[in-house]
Amino acid sequence: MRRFAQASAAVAALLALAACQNPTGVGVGLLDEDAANPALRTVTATTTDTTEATLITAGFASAQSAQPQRRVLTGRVQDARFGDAVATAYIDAVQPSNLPDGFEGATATSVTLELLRDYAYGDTTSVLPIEIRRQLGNWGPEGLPGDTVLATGDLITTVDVDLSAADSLVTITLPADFLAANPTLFTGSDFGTAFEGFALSVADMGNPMPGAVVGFDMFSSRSRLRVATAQDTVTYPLAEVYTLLTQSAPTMPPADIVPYRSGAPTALAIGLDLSSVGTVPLARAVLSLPLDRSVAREGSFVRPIPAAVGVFGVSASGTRTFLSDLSTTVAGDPRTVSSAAITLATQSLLLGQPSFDHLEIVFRPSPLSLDVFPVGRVGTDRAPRLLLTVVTPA
Amino acid sequence: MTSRLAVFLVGLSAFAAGTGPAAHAQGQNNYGSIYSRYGLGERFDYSSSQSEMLGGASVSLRDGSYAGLTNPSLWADQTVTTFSASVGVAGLRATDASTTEASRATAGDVAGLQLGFPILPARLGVALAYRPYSRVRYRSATPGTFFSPIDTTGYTVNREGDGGLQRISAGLGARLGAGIQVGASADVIFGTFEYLQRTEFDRSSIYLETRQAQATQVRGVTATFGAAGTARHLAGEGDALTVAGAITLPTSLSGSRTFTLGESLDRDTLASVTDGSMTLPLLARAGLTYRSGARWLLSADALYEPWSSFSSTLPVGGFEPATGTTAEQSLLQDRFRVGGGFEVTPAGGSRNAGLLRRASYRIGAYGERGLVAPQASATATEGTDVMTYALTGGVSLPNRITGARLDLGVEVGTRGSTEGVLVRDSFIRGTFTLNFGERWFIRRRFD
Repeated sequence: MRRFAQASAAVAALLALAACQNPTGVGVGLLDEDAANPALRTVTATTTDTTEATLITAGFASAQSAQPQRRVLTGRVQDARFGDAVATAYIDAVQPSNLPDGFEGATATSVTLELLRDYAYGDTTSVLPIEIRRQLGNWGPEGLPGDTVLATGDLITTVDVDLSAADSLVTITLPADFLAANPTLFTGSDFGTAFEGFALSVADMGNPMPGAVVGFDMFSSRSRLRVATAQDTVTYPLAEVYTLLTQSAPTMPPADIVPYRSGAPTALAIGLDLSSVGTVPLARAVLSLPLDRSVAREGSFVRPIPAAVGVFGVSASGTRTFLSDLSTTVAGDPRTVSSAAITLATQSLLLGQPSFDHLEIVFRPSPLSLDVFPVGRVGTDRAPRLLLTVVTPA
Repeated sequence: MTSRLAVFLVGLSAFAAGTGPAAHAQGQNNYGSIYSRYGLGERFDYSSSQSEMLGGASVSLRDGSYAGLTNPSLWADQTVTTFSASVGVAGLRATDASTTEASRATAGDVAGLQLGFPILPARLGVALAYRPYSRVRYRSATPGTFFSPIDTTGYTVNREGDGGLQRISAGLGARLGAGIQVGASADVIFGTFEYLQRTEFDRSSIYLETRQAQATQVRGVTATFGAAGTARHLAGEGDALTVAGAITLPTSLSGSRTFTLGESLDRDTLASVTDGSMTLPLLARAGLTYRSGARWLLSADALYEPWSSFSSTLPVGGFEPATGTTAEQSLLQDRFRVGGGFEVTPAGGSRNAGLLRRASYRIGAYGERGLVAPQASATATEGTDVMTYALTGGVSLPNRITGARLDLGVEVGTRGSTEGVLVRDSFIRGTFTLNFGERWFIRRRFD
């Protein structure tokens, strides 16, 4: 039996040699089918429309939460090309559980709301007179529609925010008369129910136009509520946040680009007709989006372009399937995105299997913004297109 | 002894079962001749490991240690239960006139599995066998560069063949007396072969590999009839001359062809399925063997398989069925093969000699005109024969277990030419076969 085992080992070694291959083009002339080589097919969008989508601007000021919202917006801006916008921010804080001895129920001597400014849309030379009001009534960010108007109390104070200031930290100090009227509002054990937060807004006609909308970073540790008594100063972290954002249609929309802007319950739908491509294998599908970056800055007026957007496939029944993120921060134009998911979904379409009806570009819900995505309209050089690498006989 | 046989059979089965899937699992690393594109693939005619070493001569090869599969009448010779498992590995180097770099390929597979036993020793025997009918396993790789507005990548268009047909046979051989024996078997032919065009890209993280495949699945049944006549004591005491013939009937295979196309990540992108049928030609063999006692033998064989009569409703390599507007086009032609060999066992029937004297040494050769005559150029008016010439040989080592033999065979040859677009293959193939024989179903006389 040993001899058999040795022979078996020898054969196993021979079989291992079967992995050695060096295929070349030898014999290609004997094969009767035509060689299929890669070729590029360009399919330009047939439609670029904004379509209805869900907008949730509320969330929690924590990246670890199930519904994070990194930013609140406040301000007013006039923008004839992309539409006017008005934003009101709602910010609630939470009282720490480990308060110093003697702090609970003590008279507050100072309360300041500190907010780190991280975003601006509009005239960056603006000085925004931000009005602070006390928010009234219970509310929670879960499922809160983006057009919900929350009740607020009387004006507490107004703070001018200079968007050109080097210091991006905005400090709002509550006036003494408010503290005198509410001496234990922030130190009482019933803080969670007695205080529902602040509303930050800019009064109509309160600032010279075109104005701006400013954003504050809710994840930053520098954004906080500070409550001081005669003995101690305690930092309250921010908790629930919400922005009521209303936008109006542009009065002078750009002729060659779609005025698609974030912060609205819309998505950018891109329709494609692939019927001319045929039933062919697809090696890669690239979504090419030539962006008109000239709209991003017009003098001191800025319209930020998002760092990334999501690309979804939407079925005829409306089901959305995430396909890829599209980064816009990489240099170069047009911006392109390709992923295995986009390729496979497009391949299915080429094979007559309706994987999606159209593509959608969707802004990320957080951080909330008024970013614009200046993609060209159908019929212009900047219209979205699919670049398909198909493998087909010449 | 029976328990030892059982252990041995289990080992052999495990070995055979292991090497088969192992070879199959190599998948895209299991390639052979470009000529396997034609017809239903490269034909295989495994009969026994003894036949493999004797130039494929098999139809008249009567031997108590082997139950040759090409002629069912030989199964009447069985006096013991026999089991054999054979695997092979082949290396191939292919060249043509237009490509500077030769193509190299290797392939391994199960050559055959066989179980036979006598119902009446040396009078009536049964055999059951598995062996490949054909193998499709070619690959041609053509590189290129693709330029897009975004980037540039190299790519390779691989045109590949994979799969083949299998054959399972079962039948009887019977001795009629006076040196005449006849036999018949039923042969089930089935399998799947695939023509694949696979394009892979250097930038594989960005470009997905694409595939266009035609997978054809077929199945059918045929029958083989054989006869042999033996004359003894012609030139001396103990010699014998056997003349034999066998014929496998033409048969129709039913099948279906599935076209798939898409990326490697999503191969279930089914395009369409087409049903069809194809008719295999008959296979006729004739041969003779002269044996001088147990010491040496000579055997020669001729094979005829008229692939010019092949028909199919599905296109296969070298054959386009008639359509409404075009006539049938076929490059297939009749296949001929002539082979023979010589075997010597120095110790003859002695069991007391040393291993090397009890071993059998074999050498043979064969020549074959292939089943296809491709056109060497676009202007050629007729096809060019694809000729195969090979030398075969090997050694059969006896084992202490009575009836067990370890056969190591080798085959070296060339196929085709480099005329025009034709390809010249140089190949070497090694085979490893375990043969076992033991008496079963013998009533014990004493407890």
